[in-house]
Amino acid sequence: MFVRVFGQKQTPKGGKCFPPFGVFTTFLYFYAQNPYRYYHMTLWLFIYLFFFVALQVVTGSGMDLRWMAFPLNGMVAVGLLALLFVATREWDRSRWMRSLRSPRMACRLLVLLTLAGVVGGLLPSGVSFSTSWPFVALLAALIVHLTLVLLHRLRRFSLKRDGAFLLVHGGLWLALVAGFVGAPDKARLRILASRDGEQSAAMDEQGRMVSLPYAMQLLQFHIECSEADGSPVQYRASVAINGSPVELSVNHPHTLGFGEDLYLMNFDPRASEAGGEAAWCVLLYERQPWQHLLLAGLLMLLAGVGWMLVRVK
Amino acid sequence: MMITWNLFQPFALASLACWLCGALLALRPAGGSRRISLGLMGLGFLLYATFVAGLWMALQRPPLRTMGETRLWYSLFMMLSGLLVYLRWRYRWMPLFAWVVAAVFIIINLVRPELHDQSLMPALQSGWFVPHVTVYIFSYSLFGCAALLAVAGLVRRTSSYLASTDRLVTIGMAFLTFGMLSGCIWAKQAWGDYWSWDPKETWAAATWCAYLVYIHRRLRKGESLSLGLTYGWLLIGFLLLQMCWYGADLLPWASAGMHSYN
Repeated sequence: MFVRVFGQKQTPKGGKCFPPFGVFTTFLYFYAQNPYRYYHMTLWLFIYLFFFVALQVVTGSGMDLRWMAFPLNGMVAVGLLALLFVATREWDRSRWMRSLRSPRMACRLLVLLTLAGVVGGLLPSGVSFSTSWPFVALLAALIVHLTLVLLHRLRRFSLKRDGAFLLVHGGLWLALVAGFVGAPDKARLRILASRDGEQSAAMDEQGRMVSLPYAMQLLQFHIECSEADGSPVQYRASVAINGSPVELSVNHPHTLGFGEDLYLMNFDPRASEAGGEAAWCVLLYERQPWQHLLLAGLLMLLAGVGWMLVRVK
Repeated sequence: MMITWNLFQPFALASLACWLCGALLALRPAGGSRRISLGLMGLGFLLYATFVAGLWMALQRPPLRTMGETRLWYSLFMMLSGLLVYLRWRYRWMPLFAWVVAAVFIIINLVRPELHDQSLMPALQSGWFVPHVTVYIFSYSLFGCAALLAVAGLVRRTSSYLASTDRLVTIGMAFLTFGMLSGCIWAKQAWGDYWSWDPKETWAAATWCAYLVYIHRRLRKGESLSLGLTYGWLLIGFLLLQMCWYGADLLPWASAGMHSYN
C-alpha cells in the first residue's frame, strides 16, 4: 500500500551528510535515474538555492541590507521588472518560460517555502533566518515566478474570469515586493523620552545613535487600571513632539510623517508603584516608506480571497 | 432588570439547547425539518444576542475587555460562521461541528466564572482581537474536517473526497488568509511592523504555504499526480496549524516571541 499510494519511492542514500548536501545528493540520485523526465526545473532550483546555502555558510551571516537603500533598491526592482517584461514579450511561449510560470513551479516554490517556515519555526530565537541568503534567494525566486505569472495573465485578461486571480496574485506580489524591496529603507529606532528636557537622539538596533528631526519630551504618563481586578488595561503617555503634545497608547500609535510612526514601547517601572510617577518612557520610531504599498497589497489579497470565497460553488 | 454575568448560565444553556436541536435537525436530508432547524438556531442566536446586548448596556461599554467577554464572542462567531457555511454550501454536519466548538467556550465560561472579570492586558485591547482569533479558529475547524476526509481518502484509496476537500480548503483558506492579514494590520498598529517572523507568524506562514501547495497541486489537473501526496499535504497543513496554534508555545524558546504575553 505504501508504494502504491505514495508513488515511486525508494530509500535515499546520503543520510549522514551535511543536510543540504544530503538533500542535493538525493536529488541527483533521482535525476540520474530519469534525466529526461520533469526534474530539470527542480534541479535548477536546487542548484540555485544550494549556491546561496554555500554563500550563507561561507560568509556566516545573511544579506546586509544597507547597500540596497533607496534609490538603488527601486532601480534594481524596476530594472528586473523591465527585464522580465521583455522576456515575456519575446519568449512567452518557450518551454523555459512556460515552465517558470507553471503551477508545478508554484508547487516547488511553495513546498520549499513551507520547509523554510518549518526550519525557521524550529530555530532558536537568536538566529535570524529571514535575512539569511537561502531565504532571501527563495523569496526572490517567488517574486520572479509571481511576476511572470502575472505578466502572462495580463496579456489577455477579462475581469470577470481573471479578477480574483489577479487580485490574489497581484496583491501578494505587491506586498512581497514592497516588503522585500522596501526592507533596506526600514528603520526601527528607540528614543528615551524623559520629563526633564527634550530628546532627539534615537538608537537603532545595532546600538548606533541617530539624530531625528523631532524633539520629544514626556509630559504625562498614566496607567489605566480595571475596576474589577486592578490590573492595567491601558498605558497612556502624553508626549511633546517639537513642542506640540501628542497622545500615545498601546494599539494607538501616532503618525509623524510619511511612512513614519511613533509607538509607546516601555515606561519607567516606578509608575506601577502606588503613588509613583514615570520619569521616562521609551518610544519606538518606525520608518517604513514602502508601508502603504505593502498595505495595498494585503488589501488586494484580502479582496481577491473574498471574491474566491463568494465564487465557490 | 440588569443583565449581568449571573444570568449567563440560563441564557447560555438555553441558547446551546436551541442550537443543538437545530444542528441535529440539520443533519437530516429531508427538506421539511430544515425550516424548524433554522428557526431553532435563530432562536438560539436571539437569546444569546439578548445576553450580549444586555451585558453591553449594563457595563456601559462593549464587552470586549476581559477574557470571559472575548470567549462570549468566540462562541457567537463560531456558531454564526458554521450556520453561514451550512446555508451557503449545505454541509449538513457543519452546524453540529460549530456547536461543539461554541459549546467548549461557553462551558469554559460557565466552569471558570472567576475569569470573567480578568482584564485583558493593554496589548490585547483592540477591536482586531476577536475577529483575528475567531476567524483563525473557524478556519482550523474547516481544515480539521479536510484532514479527516484526507485520512478517509488515504485509507479507502479513493479520490472521491477531493471535491469536498477542495471546497473546504478554499473556504478555509479564505478565513485563514483573513485571519493572517488582520493579524498583519493589527501588528502594524501594535508593534510597528506588518510581519516580524516571530515563531507564531513563521508557523502561520508555513501553514498558509502548505494549503497553497494543496490548492496548486489540484490545479495541475493534466498531470498524473500521486493521490497520497495530495491528501498528504492536507495532513501536513493540519499538523502545521497545530504547531502554530499551541505547538510553538511549547518549544523551549517560546517566550521570546511577540505572541507570548509575559
